[in-house]
Amino acid sequence: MIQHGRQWLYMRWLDAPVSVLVAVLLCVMTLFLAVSIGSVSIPFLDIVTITWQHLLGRPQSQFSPATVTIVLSIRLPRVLLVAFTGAALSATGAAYQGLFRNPLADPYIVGVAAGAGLGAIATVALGGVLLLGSLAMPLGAFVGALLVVAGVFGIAARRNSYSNNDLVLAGVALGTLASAMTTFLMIQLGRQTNQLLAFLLGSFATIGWDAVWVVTTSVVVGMVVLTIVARDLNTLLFSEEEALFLGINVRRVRWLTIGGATLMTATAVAFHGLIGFVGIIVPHSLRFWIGGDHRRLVPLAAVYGSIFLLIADMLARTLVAPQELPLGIITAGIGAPFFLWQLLTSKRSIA
Amino acid sequence: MNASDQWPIVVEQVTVRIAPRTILQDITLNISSHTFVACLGPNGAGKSTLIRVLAGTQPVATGQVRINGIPVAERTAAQRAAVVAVVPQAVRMPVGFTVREIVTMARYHVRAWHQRLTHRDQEIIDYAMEQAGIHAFRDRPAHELSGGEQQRVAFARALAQQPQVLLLDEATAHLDLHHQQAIMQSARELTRCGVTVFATMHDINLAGAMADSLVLLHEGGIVKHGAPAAVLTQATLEAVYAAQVQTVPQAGSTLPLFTAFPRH
Repeated sequence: MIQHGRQWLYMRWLDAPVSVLVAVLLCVMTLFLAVSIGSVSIPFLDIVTITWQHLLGRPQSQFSPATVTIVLSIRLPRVLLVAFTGAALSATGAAYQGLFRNPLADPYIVGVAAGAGLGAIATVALGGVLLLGSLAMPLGAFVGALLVVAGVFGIAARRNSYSNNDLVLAGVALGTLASAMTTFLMIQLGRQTNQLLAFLLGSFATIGWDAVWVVTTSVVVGMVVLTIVARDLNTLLFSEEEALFLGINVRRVRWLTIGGATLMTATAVAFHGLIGFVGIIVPHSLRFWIGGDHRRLVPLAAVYGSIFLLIADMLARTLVAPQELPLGIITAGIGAPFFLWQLLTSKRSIA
Repeated sequence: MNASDQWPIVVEQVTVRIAPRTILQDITLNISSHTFVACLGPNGAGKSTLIRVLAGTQPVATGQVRINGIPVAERTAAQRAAVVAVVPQAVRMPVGFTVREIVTMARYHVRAWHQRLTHRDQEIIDYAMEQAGIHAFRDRPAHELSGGEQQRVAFARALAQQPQVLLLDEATAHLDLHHQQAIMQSARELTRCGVTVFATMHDINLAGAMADSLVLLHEGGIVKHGAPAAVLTQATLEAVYAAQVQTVPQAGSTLPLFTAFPRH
């Protein structure tokens, strides 16, 4: 684990409910900002009015139809999806780093990402786009992600060993295999690779409300599961055996964590493609401020993960407008320097 | 209930195999309540495995372990933790928790994830920290403490489980004399409160001085089990440890001191 200084002790006055409330308020403000910013800037109040009137089913007579469309059909779904994706990746990172006792564990460690990439390209290769239309790639990615995760656990089950190192190694091996197959298919397909490259680098360009509902549902379910296991994850920081000594049902914690996390990440990855680093940088930065207790860490990682990804997405849309940058470039571009700054200024070095 | 269940710890013909080796072979052991039992033996004799068998985390090939009359295999992790607590060897504290938060983990199994700790839980936690002598730094980050202090945090955590059986797995092996004595002394005092202590140890003299009875383990079997004076003889130790052992008479004690003596 990265040895943090004492900062987190001084944040104790921020009791969990208070700090989550503060973070949620921050997140809502960022959401509004994200909807407001773009090629056409829309005032906060207009966003509130348009959304409110839409929810109540009232006519939007005082706004131009273009503005209403921009808010309701373009920006709001995209921004919400970004927010929930950030929450999913960051909370999963926090939980996995605890479960696997590995500071480098990210949401993709059990093979979700590589599976999603392979699933997406396989769908394209098999002509799924013709059959299923725009939902083909997300669906293929979701199925691919689940298949690879199932494969990883199949290997663990066959060896009758669920020790965390074995799981991680199986995830890495199977993930690498899936990535190799993805690259092979990309070379073979040649022409359609632009769309696929966008997927592999992370993109929220074309998103509808269907996607928002699917991702929202799975993130809510996944977060409920992670909230239930958060406390017991603390004991796993020692070792699985010590957690057992402390009376924790380790098997239940492990399966719930991986189940909830896979549901969230597989759904999110299916719609947005691969966004790296969120699941590493946000939880580690938070540990630095609030300590390691997963009851604070997991919910706060979710909220600050959304904020982080919302800001990254705003930058991706506006930096070289009207062009759009892949999100992965931004998360690494602002994430890595910020993280390094924290490492350099913290009192301790890496353990 | 068996007649033998007047003993809190009953080990019946336990064999443990971790392929291809047999770690414990046909172990039978009854331990009476309110006693401090020390388990000695060379490296690889099976001491740690025996602790894990008693704690219920090591599956056995044959035989059975009963704690308070109930087979450990039939208890859930939470049910076991309510009766048995373990202080593992060389515990390393995770980053980002205060001492108090670490000790609080001992009460997790009593409460569901959404329940808050009761006032009674808080009292138990405070009392455990006082007993282990770490109450003064309860609000410090646990990972910043010295090795000896961290081991005492692990000891406090075990106490906060309020166990009837306390298992120490070479819990003092890496500590200096003062910390070693402090932990052993508190473990001894616990036996007066009705706790049964089973400790694997390396220090033969400390074990002889502290324990009510000794178990001498060698190559997965029990060589001797009885009062310290009966177990600790020069001949037995030389045979089990395959080393030359010298005895030095000790003032005020019937037990001599044992020291390893290099062969020339």
